[in-house]
Amino acid sequence: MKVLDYDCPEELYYHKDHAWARVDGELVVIGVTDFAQKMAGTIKRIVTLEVGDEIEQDKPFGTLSSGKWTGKVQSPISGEIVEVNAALEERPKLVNDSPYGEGWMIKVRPSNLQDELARLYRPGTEAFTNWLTAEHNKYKK
Amino acid sequence: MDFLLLLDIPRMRWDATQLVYHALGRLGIEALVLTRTIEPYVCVGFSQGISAEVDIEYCRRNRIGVFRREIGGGTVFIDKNQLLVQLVLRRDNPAVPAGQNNFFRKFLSPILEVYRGLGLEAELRPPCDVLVKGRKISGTGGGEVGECAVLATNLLVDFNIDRMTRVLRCPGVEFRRALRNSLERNITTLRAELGTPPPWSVLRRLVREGYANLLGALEEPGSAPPLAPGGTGTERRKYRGGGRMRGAIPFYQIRRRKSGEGDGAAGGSPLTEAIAEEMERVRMELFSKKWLGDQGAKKSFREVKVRELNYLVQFDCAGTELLLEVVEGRIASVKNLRRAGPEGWWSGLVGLDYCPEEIINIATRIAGNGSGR
Repeated sequence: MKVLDYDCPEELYYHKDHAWARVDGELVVIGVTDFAQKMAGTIKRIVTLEVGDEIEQDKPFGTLSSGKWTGKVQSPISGEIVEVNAALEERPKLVNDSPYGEGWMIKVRPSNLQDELARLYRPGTEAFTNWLTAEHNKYKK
Repeated sequence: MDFLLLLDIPRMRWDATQLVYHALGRLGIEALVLTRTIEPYVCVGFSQGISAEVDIEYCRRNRIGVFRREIGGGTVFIDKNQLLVQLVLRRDNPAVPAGQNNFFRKFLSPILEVYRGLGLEAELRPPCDVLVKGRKISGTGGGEVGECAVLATNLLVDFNIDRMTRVLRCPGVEFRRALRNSLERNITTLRAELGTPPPWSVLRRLVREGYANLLGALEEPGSAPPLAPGGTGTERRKYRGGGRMRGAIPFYQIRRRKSGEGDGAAGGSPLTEAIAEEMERVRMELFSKKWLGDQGAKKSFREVKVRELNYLVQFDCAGTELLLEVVEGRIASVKNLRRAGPEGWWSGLVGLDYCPEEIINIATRIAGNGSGR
């Protein structure tokens, strides 16, 4: 679905700092949202923690650089990184071109999934729309 | 928070000029840093690799330091002729706008005002280049360090173009020659614009005043803690008293302006041991082989961004060695270094929007068709 100008697939969970999580069997796939990639501009470099590293909800697991600016990416859930998208090393712009597809960033074996999913936004809810609208207005100032 | 620390440090060792804002960001201490480096050095941005950007052997021979920072921006050559200005603010500070463009626009405005106050028609070329008559006079990078957002910029009082040309890795002599010419055309300085630049003390005062107008009034040295909100009680105690750092110099606290309150006078206390200790911790990390040896973003071509929208690029693909100059985002000239004369398909690139992937695609396609002349 589209909210404002942004693609927001309905099956995903959204973190307030614009990372998404998709439950895929026992794993969770994580990336950054369409909103985040649009705000960042052309992404030049992505560096994440490595396979085997533990990550925590609300804590950074990676850095995304658009050349002049580097920003942290906060994790939507906690767990152990089991895979890093190696394609982003060569083609970081995949995050711009396909934020929910080829531009995924890491796969995680979650440690506290249900509790943490409950703290994330879901499209179609009032909370989601209010959050994204507020973010949109904040960035467009 | 009530206070923004001002570290107005006339000169620092080259590495300290970079470590200080990384340390402040990690500690969550909001501060404005003004300083100059004692020794020259080269500094690459987060997305870059030192070996791809810098002539490391030249730097080693000439005792020029090399560093890779945690924030964005391109490769810069820094020496004593630049006033370094670094602003560290917590991301949750209401004064920090959302979005990098908003951040740069707001926090570069005092720099623009400094130049304008000196009679120069300075303009912001988004996201973060400051230009005078189309030439860059301040280079800027930014990013998140710890819980803080950091702006790192400079005022070019003078600039050694020969040195800059020499410290950058160049694929050949033609590239280096073209780079020098491009830098000449795209960089300016206060000396070039004014003849005689203002004294450092005046520049520092103007910058201090500019940020004080934006963020708060200067105060006399006082005992108020230079603390960010959210600092723990332990941190408060740690920073309040403060020890004296090696070669400590005056610094000031800027108190956020309150309604009905005029500008205060400058205030200060020693740089704390806590910041010095954090700088040493940061040093261990940012001078590690892993950090400095990072290869950076993968590129199959050599590109130097001279200023926003202006590049010098060399492609070595499909049997050609193309040297491109990009002006205002468009390819202004192309030379095939493997073939004399202007003829060839590559001359058709002139006037196109600059898109490296597209150039490589075109070259590969033409080579595949056997029409590479």
